[in-house]
Amino acid sequence: MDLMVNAWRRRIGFMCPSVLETTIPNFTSFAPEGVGICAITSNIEDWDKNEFERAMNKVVADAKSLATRGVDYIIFSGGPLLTSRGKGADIELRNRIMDATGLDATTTITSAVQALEYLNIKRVAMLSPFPQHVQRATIDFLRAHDFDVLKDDSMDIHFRALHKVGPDEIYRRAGALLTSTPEADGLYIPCPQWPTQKAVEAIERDYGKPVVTCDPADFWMAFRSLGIHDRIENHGILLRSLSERRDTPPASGAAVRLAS
Amino acid sequence: MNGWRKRIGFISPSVHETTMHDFFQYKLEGVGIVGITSNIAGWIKGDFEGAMTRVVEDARSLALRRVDYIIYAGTPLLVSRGKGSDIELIRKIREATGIEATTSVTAEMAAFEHFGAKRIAVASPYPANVQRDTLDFLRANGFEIVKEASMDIGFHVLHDVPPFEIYRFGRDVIQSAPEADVLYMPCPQWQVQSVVAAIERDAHKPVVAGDPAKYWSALKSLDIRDRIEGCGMLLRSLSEHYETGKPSSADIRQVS
Repeated sequence: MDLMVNAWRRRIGFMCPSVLETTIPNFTSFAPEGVGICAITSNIEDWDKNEFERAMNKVVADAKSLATRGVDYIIFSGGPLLTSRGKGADIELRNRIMDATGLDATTTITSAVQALEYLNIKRVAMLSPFPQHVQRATIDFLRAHDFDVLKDDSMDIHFRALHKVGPDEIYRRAGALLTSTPEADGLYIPCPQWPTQKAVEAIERDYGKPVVTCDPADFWMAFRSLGIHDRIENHGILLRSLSERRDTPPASGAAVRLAS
Repeated sequence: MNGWRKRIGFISPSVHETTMHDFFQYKLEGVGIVGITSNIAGWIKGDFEGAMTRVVEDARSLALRRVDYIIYAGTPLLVSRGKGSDIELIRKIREATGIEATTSVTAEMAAFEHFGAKRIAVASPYPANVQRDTLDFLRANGFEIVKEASMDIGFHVLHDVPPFEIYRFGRDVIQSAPEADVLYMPCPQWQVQSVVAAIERDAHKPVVAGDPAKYWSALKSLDIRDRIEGCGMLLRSLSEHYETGKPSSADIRQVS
């Protein structure tokens, strides 16, 4: 019997624009001891801009609600809601959350940009579940941050069927994309509602390129900010870097080979 | 696929924290959970009503995501409305979604019946108004309250109560009520699940608590009979009574 409170070390507030499904088992699979998650949902129903705006209107109120529950950090996980608004939207939201709560925060696209930079991935291959307009907005957002998106592939998954995609399918599509884009420094797989985390380690090992994907990138940002440097294995180079390379950003290809 | 066997939809009037943590303790292969929150801010009736107006809509949202069962977790929201409000909400959810459902207080009363319990000792984290509504609701449903106590925990710090404090509180309440058939510890937002087995072992009485009762109801309805250890008699009964039928007093003694 564990007699400690679940989150005796740190509590991470998590705002999900959709429902909570993949993120919690993802977090549970690597959560350092004593680190917990406290989550709020906005229940959007579709890849639709009106739905995005409805959720965006609630974000600061939801962040304040999480702050009253004593969380130590806030993650906002709605990538499409921010990329549809263009460069700077994530930083503006992050600042609003930080001003309203006094807590450090990230958004999922901010985490992705930070992780791509950390892993020295400038030339990006991107695999997503997005429909065309969300794919385009995401690529534009990355390009506005000076990433060179060499090739992209969208599986165009229905919003409410994201959980049905198997990690094996993600692994195969990612492999094909990386094989056909040898000049890419790494792979970006956005969206926390499909099970990418389960495929990350195998893709990195088998194709020799680092992968940045949603939940690992968001929690990597949170753990780094909170000074959590526990060893996290089997969830990719980014989370493993928390304990292995605290201060030394790796060179992309060499780093993956070292870690694999 | 996440939830390839069964998917449980879970509507929380507050946030998702302890509920999800509790569910993943069971390590059920292929059983997933899809959570929605209503973000109420306190033990306030105005907040309760605001969340209640959204429940059927949230249930529909879960149904669109192909869940197999729906749990609604707001006991204070239902007991404040009096006897029958839980059944009425279940009826509305079923009508709107075509999916089997329960509420926390419905599941907890079903658990009392499972244990053949009529005389209840209550140990809750509730403030006085919610405690009173809960007792009235149980009495209106034919249960006798033989002992009751509340820790009166602030709504936003439920997660901060250490399990050993919950253990001592629950153990003291049930040990001071020898006539009680069962100890009832409502609310899924404090870490009561982690102490249920220890109280049962030390007090020789079954404990009905928030998350175990709700998940027991869901798993039973979905015919998931996996072995769940360390979370109390009720969840363990899913596998134990699969072949042997209803529990007897021998089952209760066996725990001690």
